[in-house]
Amino acid sequence: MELKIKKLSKTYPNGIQALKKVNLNIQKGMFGLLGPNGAGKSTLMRTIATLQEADEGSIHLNGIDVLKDKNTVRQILGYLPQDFGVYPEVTAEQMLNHLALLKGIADKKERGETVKYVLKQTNLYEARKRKLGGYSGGMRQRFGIAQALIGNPKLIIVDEPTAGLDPEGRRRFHNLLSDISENIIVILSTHIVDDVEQLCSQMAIINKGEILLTSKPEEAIQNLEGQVWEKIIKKQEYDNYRNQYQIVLTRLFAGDMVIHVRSDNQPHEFSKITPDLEDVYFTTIQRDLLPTP
Amino acid sequence: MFKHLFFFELRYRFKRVSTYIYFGIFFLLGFGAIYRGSFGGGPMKFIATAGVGNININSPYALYYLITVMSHFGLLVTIAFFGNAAYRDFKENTYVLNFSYPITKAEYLSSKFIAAAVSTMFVFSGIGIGAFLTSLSPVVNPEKIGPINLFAYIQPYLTGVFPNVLFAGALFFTLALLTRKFFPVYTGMIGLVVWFGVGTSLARTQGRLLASLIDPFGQLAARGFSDYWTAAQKNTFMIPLAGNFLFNRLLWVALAVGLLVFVHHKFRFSHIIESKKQKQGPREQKARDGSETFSLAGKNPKVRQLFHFKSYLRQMFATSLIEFRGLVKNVYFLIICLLGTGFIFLLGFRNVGLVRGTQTLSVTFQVLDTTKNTLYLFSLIIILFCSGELVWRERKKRVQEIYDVLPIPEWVPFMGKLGAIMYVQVLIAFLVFVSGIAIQLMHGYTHLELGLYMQELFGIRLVYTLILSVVAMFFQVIVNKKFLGYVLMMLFVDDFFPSIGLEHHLWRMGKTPEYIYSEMNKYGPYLKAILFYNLYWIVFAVVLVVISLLLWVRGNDTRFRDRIKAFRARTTKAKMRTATAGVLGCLLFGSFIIYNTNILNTFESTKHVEKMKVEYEMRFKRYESIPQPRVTDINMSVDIFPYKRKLHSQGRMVLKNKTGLKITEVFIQIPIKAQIKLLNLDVPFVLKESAEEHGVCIYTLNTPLRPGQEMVLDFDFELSEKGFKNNRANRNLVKNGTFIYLFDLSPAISYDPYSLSELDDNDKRKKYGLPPRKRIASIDDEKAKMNTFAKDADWINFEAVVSTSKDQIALSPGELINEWVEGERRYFHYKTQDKILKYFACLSARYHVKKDRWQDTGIEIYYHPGHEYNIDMMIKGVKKSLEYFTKNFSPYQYQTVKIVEFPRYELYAEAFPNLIPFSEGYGFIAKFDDSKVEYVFRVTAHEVGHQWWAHQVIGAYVEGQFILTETMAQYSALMVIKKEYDQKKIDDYIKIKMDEYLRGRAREREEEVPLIRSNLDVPYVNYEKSIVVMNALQDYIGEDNLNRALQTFIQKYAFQGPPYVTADEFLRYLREATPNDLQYIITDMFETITLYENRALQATYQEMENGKYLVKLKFEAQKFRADGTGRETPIEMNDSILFGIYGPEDEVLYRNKQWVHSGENELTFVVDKSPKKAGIDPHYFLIDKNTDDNFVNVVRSKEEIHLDY
Repeated sequence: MELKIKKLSKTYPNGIQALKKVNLNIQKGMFGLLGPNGAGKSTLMRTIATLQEADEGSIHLNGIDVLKDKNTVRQILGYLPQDFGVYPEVTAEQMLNHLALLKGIADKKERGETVKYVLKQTNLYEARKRKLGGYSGGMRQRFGIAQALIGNPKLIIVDEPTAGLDPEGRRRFHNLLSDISENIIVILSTHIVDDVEQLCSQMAIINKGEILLTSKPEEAIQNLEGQVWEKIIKKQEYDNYRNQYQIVLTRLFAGDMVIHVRSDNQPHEFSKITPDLEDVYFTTIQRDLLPTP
Repeated sequence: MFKHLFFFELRYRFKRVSTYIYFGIFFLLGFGAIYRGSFGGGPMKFIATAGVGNININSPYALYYLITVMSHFGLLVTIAFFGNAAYRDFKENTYVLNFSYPITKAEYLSSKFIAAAVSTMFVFSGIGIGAFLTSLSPVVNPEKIGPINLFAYIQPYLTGVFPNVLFAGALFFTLALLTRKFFPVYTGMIGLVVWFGVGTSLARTQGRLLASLIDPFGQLAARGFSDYWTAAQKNTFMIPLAGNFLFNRLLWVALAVGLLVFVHHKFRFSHIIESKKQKQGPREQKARDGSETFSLAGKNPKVRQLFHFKSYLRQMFATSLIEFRGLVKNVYFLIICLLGTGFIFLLGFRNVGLVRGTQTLSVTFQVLDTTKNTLYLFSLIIILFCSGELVWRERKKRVQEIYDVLPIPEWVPFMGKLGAIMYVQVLIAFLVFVSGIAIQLMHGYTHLELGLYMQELFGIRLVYTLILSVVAMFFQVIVNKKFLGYVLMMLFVDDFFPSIGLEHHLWRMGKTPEYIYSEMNKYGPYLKAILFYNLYWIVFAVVLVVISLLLWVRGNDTRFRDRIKAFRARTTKAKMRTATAGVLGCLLFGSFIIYNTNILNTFESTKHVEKMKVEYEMRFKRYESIPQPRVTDINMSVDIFPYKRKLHSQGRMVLKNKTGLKITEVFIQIPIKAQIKLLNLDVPFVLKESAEEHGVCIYTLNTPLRPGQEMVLDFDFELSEKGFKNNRANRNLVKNGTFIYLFDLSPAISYDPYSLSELDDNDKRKKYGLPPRKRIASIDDEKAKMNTFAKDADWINFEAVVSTSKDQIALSPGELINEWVEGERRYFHYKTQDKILKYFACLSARYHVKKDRWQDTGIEIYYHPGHEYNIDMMIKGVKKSLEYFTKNFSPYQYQTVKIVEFPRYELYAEAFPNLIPFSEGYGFIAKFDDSKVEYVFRVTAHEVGHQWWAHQVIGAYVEGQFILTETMAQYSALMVIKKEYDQKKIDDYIKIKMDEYLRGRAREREEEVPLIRSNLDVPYVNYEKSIVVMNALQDYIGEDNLNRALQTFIQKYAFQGPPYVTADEFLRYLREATPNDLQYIITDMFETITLYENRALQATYQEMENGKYLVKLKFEAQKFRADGTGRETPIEMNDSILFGIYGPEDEVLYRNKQWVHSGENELTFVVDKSPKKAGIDPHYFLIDKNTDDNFVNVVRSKEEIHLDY
């Protein structure tokens, strides 16, 4: 199982270049695509999910030309869109059953089993007879996951899946994803670093249509070892520090401000910390944001 | 804040291209209507009969209807703008943020509403602007452009469009806001259309006031003014904001305001916020409590996923079922269906086969026919909305990204959705089927033809709706804009191509040629055409489907360029093959159709017909003046082969030179399609010229025919029907119900300038450089006086042997002198004892016969078995007529009266010598209606009347000819019905005829003429005015007195030869019978166009000491003379007018004529009983511009009435 993306570019009619020569190799397992809003994540996800054309470049999934042979990809695809609605007047079970039929599961019994399985997996079994219009945001999100799971997909694309979920829901969702990602490719796009940190064996950071980093999360963290320093400051002091240091991230803490800076040497009054993926993320993004000195 | 919101809304609307496209479409419609209208084409002819004859294309009248009618078509835009303005916030939550600002409810609602109103008015202004600029531009035909009055382009918006937009907008706005859904808006629109339909239907039967008030668009009320307007008035008057029209406008604007107040009261901002909140309902809590973790138990079960055609097919059916269920579960959709079927039911129930206000029996095809147009409109609207809703369903609910990545080909959703629309159509067909049966049973009609229902509803019409559905889906897919798709579909689907001159049905998106079902002849000549057109359209639909599939929006690339890319990528071999097969099918069936319509038959486009007529005239007009022989005897044998649709006619005509000149050339007119075997004179001749396409053959005689000399023309030809035609199928020669006129049975001699062979529209004649044509020869034209409507004969001897298939009966004028069977053929030998006019026909069908007698005269009714309903009424009509006419006019000249049924391809009855063909749909299945003058009875009397007034007395074919035929046949019928019906029914009948006359003259394009100058093109004078006038005359001068004059006239002129008598001579007889003081009525009624405006104003009564009652009636009388274009001048009057006072049971207390001057008047009467009603001209003797105000109720007087005498 391998997904190869080569020199994928896309420019929208309004001039925004959503993807700039993106190259990615994605193996079996969970792959996290991390980036801020508007970075091009969804464009990339949709392009892989056959919803959008690219201007140039190619995507191959185990030899299938994704951009050309869309229907073959669709046969093994599970896709959870970033933003979707439901038919309010239909029950979850009816809807999933219909989608299962459209995914080619012709046998009624098999369809019933699959639907039951995905309902249980997403903890919607109890609510299966309820109309989707009455579902809460979290339940709708889980319904979205349920439909993506139908029919043994080999490639699952989930675009910002935890956006509507509470912490508990997110935890459950993570468990589920890691469980199914054993033998298949799961691409998870998110702007939440935790999601990737907890789940993904591989990751990429994207911003402004460009892949800034591809790596295993732990390797990326390792590379940053000894370069991130922390200090608690007063809010008023922030401007001073900003001029002096390359601030990676800021966090409020009991009314004061915690700042992480990147530096090869330990700056005065800063303490050393073990970097985490968030530091990696923001360092990577900032390299892109800040004018390189 | 209001300003901010208002401009926000307005900007939203004006940033969208579609707004300008709509404007552009309406601009073009305005342009097209004026441009094409100025040349007599385009939609204006139908909307306002403008641009033809005397009515200017930019007359205020025409502009009013152009602009308002087009804006009805624009209801779709109203829906789009108002519905979306209200709905958008629920859909997109765009305003949620705005609610934190201090906006009041009124600001929020009014800004949206007013912005929508402004945008809608902007779009509709396109029509007026287009029309205005076009009127000014040099491209139009300046002759049809009247003085340009800017206000005439604006006024329709003020009194018509704007109030309509307000009300419709308020309705749609309210529905969308309060239901938070869009679909109810469609329901609202259909409700509005149905409501309008009910109004129109009521207008036909109920009082005008009610109808004009309940019409939300004010059309009926406006028509209330303009229906009687003549050309001159249409060119100058504007629809005044007064009377019923004013009430209507006030009422509906008030309702609009009421709706807005209501919505302001009901609407809460929380409506919008709630709809967002729903996402985090309390249920989440409960669901979470249900279990602890995502269940990790179990592996995803192994399933087989099938990706082949069979499973796709299954998916398609599943999709169609789900989509269908989605539609019918929608309560608003169900309301639409119920409204539609309810309306169809109501219409069917009240109006089955309505002919002249009388229903027919609820025969299956009549029920189906009555519902046809409504059902079509209803189906079309449903198809339109369903196509939009279904194509956009995923995107509207934002589930498209889930659906678009499913491993299914595009045709699964496309065909699935199409299927859902078709299920809906089947559902509607079923509902109509049930209502049809219900209508029949409720009317007590039990001969249910289920098979016919199936053929019509589930066969022919369903195929049509299938094609319409494909076209609607196609537009939705191609344009990828919902409302623009609707508008384009409405534009293209119906009459777009014909309106730009492409008249062949192959252009008309799913249309098959119009067909008429007859119980006598079933689908008869139409069947083959219906079949092949349907095949053609089905393969055409296949091509559209493939194109739609290739352009079907899937995924997020919706730009057209991207879709073209996808188009290429999706082009597969299978699709190519299907499309190719479709195109080949189109070519195949199309060629077959063209072979039938253009090769086997002539494709008669309007242009083609015009050109043929022009050519005919240019080439042969010069023969008009050469002396021609006249037919004196016809002896022929006609063999009808109904099942082969073939006819063989052979015979001989004796031609005599009745002129004083030598005849050297004979101009012979033969049926155009005839295969001529023989056309020979018994004297030496040579062919001078022949033109098969015109059916003309001109012979030069070797030796000229001297005055008084005779020769014989032998003829032998065959006529047959082959294939089918584009438009009117030829339905003369059919399997059961053949009805063939003389010009298809025998040759005619001489060029006929008044036949249909010449182009008669003077505007068009001008275009072709032909001089204007008179409708009929002048009364002073001595040459024309030598002819009746037959141009080549006077009274002739007629004998015919007509044969037909063994199972049929064949008929022609004359008495049957012999009948025999020979092999498979049955022969009938007819001969007239005395000479007849050269006017005959042959009929043949599988008839049953009912025979009766009146004194020595035989009465025979030939009818289609099953159509026995009105035969007795007809027989009674014949008897009563013979009784009155023989007593008051002269003896009947034949031994029998034969009434013969023919298929309902035409709705009329006609009088040949002793032979009266009567249409299946006109009389034979009419429903007896006791409440009014029965038309079967009346028409029978009219046609029998023609046996005197045409077949005994015939006038010269010059102006006024029709006074001796139609006017007098109307009089004859009137006198027969007057003996049968009470005064009240006669009054009602005359009132209706008066109304029809006034409407008829309002539609006159060229020139209205007085009765004494009547011609074929003024039927409203010949029939309607005639009966009103004759009803008055017989009362003013007395029935006996009048009949004595007629008797003398008949004695002098019956069976007379040329020069024939004229209307002037006839009028001399009438004048002689009229007392001196009433001579003016002859002038008013016959020689001029005279109208009155008589109105009862007030009536009071007082009891007198002697127990009698004194009644005082105030009234107004006015008299006008009108010229041919309808320009009216008031004239002084001192006329005798009838007054009537009526008691509580409508009994007559007083009825007498009084001499009256114009202006306001007062009269007093003494009556014996307490009066209830008083009226001026209670029997509608005088042509009154408004007959609704002739009566007033008499109330007790508050003051003393003084006797004037």
